[in-house]
Amino acid sequence: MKPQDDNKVAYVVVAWNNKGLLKECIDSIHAQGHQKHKIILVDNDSKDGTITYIHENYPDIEVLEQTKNYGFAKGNNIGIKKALEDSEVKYVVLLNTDARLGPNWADTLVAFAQQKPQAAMLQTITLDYYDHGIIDSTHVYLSRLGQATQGSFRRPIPYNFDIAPQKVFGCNAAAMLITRAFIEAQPFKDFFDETMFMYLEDVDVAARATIMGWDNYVVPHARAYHMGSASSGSNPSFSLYMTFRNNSSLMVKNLPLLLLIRQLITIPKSDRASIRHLKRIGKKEDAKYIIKGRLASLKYLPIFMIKRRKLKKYRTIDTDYLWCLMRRGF
Amino acid sequence: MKKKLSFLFPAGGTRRKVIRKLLVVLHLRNYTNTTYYNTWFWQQHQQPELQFNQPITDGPQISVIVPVYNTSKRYFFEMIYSIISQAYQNWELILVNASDDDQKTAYIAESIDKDRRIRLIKTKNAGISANTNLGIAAAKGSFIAFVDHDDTLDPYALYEVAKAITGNDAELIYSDEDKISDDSQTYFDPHYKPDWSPDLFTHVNYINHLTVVKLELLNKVGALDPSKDGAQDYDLLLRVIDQKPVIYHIPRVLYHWRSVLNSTAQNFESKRDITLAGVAALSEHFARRGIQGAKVTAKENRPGFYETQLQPYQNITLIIMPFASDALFRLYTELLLLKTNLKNIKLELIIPEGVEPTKEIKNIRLKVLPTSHSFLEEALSAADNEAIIVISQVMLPLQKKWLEKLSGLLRLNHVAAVAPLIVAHGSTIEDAGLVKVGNGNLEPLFYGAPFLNNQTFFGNTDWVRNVDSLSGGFILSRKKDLAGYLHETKPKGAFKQQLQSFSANAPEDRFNVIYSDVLFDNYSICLRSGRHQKSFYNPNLQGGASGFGLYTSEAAAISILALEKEVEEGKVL
Repeated sequence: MKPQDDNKVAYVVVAWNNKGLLKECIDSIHAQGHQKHKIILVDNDSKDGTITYIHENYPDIEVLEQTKNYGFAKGNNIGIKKALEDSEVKYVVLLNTDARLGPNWADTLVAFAQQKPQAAMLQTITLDYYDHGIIDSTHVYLSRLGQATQGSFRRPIPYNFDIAPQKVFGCNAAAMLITRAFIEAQPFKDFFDETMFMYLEDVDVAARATIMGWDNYVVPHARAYHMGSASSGSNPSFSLYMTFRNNSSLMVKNLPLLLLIRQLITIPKSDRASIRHLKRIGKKEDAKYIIKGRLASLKYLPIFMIKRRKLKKYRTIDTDYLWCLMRRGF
Repeated sequence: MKKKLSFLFPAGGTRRKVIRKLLVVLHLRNYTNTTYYNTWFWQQHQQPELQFNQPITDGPQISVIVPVYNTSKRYFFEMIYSIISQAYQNWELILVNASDDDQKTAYIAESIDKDRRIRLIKTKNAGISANTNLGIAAAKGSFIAFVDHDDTLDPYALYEVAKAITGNDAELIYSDEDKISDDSQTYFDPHYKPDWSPDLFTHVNYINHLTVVKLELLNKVGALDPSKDGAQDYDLLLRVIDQKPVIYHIPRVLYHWRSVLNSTAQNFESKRDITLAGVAALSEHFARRGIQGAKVTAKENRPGFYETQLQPYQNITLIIMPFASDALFRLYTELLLLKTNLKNIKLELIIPEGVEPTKEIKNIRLKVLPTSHSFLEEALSAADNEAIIVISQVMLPLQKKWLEKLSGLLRLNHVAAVAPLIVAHGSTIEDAGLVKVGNGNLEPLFYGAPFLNNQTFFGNTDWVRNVDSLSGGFILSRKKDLAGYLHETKPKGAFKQQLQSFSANAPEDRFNVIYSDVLFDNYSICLRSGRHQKSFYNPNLQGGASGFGLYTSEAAAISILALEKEVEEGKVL
């Protein structure tokens, strides 16, 4: 199952003021063996000299300079669009600056994806960068309580995903491989939804792929390593606000009506649990961002309703099966 | 009624859970409750013993054949993804699509894009056998796995099968299975099967799923027979087994059988057809093996279960060991013969000296031998017949035809020794043979378990079974085997232990059988008067339609036995 050489892989890295992380990240890409590849770095107007650093140390990397911080979604969209201009590129890898690829990462996924014409996104097990005994994510999914969650987050390593490749709801954008066929089958102009700006764009894409009948897989035969939220900076109130805003938005946008109703009913219940959790860890004052986020999503409701109507034509998944897939909370 | 109940207590809801727990607490439902297994199942699956750092490809190619017929979308996808997610990589999936409406089931045709190893054969529906045969003909692998269109495989399934093939040269592989609920939420009702049990298999098709057969064997015996639809898998397996393949059992749940609410299996007409097909398949199986006069009948109200009456022996020797006091012994012999149908059978009875029955009984040749330590060997050398029954424990048959039913089993060459199932009070299992447990020790099977309608994780308690050893209280065997073993090894211990060691040391290709279609009851005679337990009912009385009457001759035995015991203990002079 060696991948053929004509499968060019394009790596897209979006950088924003984290020069220190770049070296390790790019070196792990270069260590991926014989793979025909190219690296595209999208710089979101960094002020720490990232561009000069790249030009000096890695002259063969294609750098796309932006004039302002476009966030994760738009930054990646620019990178993906650039990558697809090269018709040889069959697979696009999205890699966060705080993530590193283990040996044979790309080989494993490309070999697997070649077997699956309908594969959309793939990831391996992503481990915690600092503690390789703990999982960062095996997949992302929309839980039955309506929350977008990282699968197996902070679980100790011998865990049940490890037995075989599995179809999952979606993949974590920290380190994932997307097939060209899926990118080209998009109903929308952009791959990531730019109105989401930050957080949960990958769950949105995952939901879109799943309801369109494409397959996302976790392949346990290689490893990637992720630091957590180092690259986006630590601003918990903002992340809470965005997460909850985007959460209800992506449900409105993607889910079949029956599931949507089921999920919306559970939202107050799950939000109450989230607020309680915040209280328990002593961040009671952050609770207001959850409610703010939910209210903000009402403002965006018309936009997502339009997107929902467009996406509906592409929906092929069986509702019952989607409900089963959302249970995969392993 | 059922509909109304399921409306009031929706599946998976809290109300149903509470009611279930209540039923367990009230002992109205046994502990084999679905929820306990389900919890265990998920726990097990969170701690795999294997971690794979690369895909496993080394091994034979396994062709998974799935006949698809109007499968609903969700079941179909769950089946497909369970095969795509196999840890073992060297497989191919052949879908034989016989669905009626191509437009409605377009997802089946499109599913070949899910994986390059999926192949699709489109055909007109010609019954399950014909459809499956098309798949077998197209298979490229050297092994064939049969999967139904709405069931799912465990991720380890094909890996374990490949391991069994490479490690043990297995040609026919089967695994344990359980059921998966309609909504895929609950795993329940597991069946942990015994290792290859030929006599259980002619009683019921316990192998079922997951079955993997070598393609060579299938080519030898021919494909599925469309005239046996409904029991076509049973028929095929019986034909495969007649080729004496290497059979391997994987003691692990690898197959999840969908439990659909509105199953067609509830249809009475189709059940009747399945029963007839099964009877035909079994009859042909016995005919192929050259066993004449096998009468196969289906069991009433139990679809899928069969009983086979083989040609009984005409001449049988019955040896009763000196196990009781004279008075009890005489009584026991009389009772035993009274409860035995002796038409068409010439019985040779060998008993100790001085305890001959007082009454003359027809069709019996009586031989008496002096009581000694070598009574068993002497009795065997005095016996004239091939079929020998040795009884060394008090027990009485519950059916009059027990001799015919049991002795017929000796016509099967693979049978080493046979014993009936021994129950106490007609309902509790006293002796269903001994099985080897994890540490290699022999332990009694189902001891003390209820006999009727008792479904366990190990199958029902009233199945015919092959066991590692019989307990020795009752043994039916061939004279040359038993005498030869005693002569060669000279086992020590009481007569019962000698008999037990005979059955425990049966050759590899011979099997011990617990034939549960014949019941013996050992409490019908040794009921003790209520000494240890206060009771306001007199145990000497027997309730019934005509009021309370005395236990007939058994009542006497009871009092004699009690008296004997007290004399032994020195309470009465």
